Amino acid sequence: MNRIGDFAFLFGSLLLFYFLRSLDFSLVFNLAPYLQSVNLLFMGFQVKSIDVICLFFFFGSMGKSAQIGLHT
Amino acid sequence: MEGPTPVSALIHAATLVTAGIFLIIRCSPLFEFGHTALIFITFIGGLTAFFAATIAISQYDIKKVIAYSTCSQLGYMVFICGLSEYNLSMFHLVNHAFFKALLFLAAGSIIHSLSGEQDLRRFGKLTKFIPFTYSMMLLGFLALSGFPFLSGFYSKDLILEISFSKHLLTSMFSY
Repeated sequence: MNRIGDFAFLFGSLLLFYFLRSLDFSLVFNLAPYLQSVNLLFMGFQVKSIDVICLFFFFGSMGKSAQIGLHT
Repeated sequence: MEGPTPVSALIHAATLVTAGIFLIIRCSPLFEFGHTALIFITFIGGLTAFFAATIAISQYDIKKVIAYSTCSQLGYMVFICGLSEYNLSMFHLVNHAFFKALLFLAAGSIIHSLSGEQDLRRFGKLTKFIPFTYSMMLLGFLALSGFPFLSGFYSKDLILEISFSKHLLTSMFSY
């Protein structure tokens, strides 16, 4: 389960890098409103890119903290 | 994730499983803009807090009971993150680390004094033999269940109060 969460976290980080070309905390936090305006075609749906990134990060923390769905 | 009792005191209480919560808290400026993600987080956290508690009821191994109660507390921390109260989540994380480490170490003391017996159904009359461990275990469980004037009360009661007082669909669900 940890591996699935790690993979989701990696995918979220890669998406963040794809949009902002940086993973620096201060830069990412300042540019978060920009991500809200960018749409992303995810599995056939037009969604806000920040929602996808946050969901992937949350899947990472789900795998780590044994939340439901990714618990043992 | 099982190990010797001091190891599980470390990983379950303080370091390993709370790393996911810390990720959410550290990335809180990012999460704050993802409204759909926050709703999802709240639902998952509330479900986990409930399900892990019900799993813990049906377990007989003392360490498994404590581990599932950790899982339930993590659910609390996650859903309060989903309601945008990150400071409160961090507060509960620290409080929980302290009393859960106490519980694990007391459980280790019990298991050691019973020479490796972990089954809750075969315990009994331990007050006579290990009174200090008994009192520590009692304090830990009172703190965990939010007894007034112990550390768990301040954070857990605040979490429940905030999830009650925010008039959102997700907060109503998690309450």
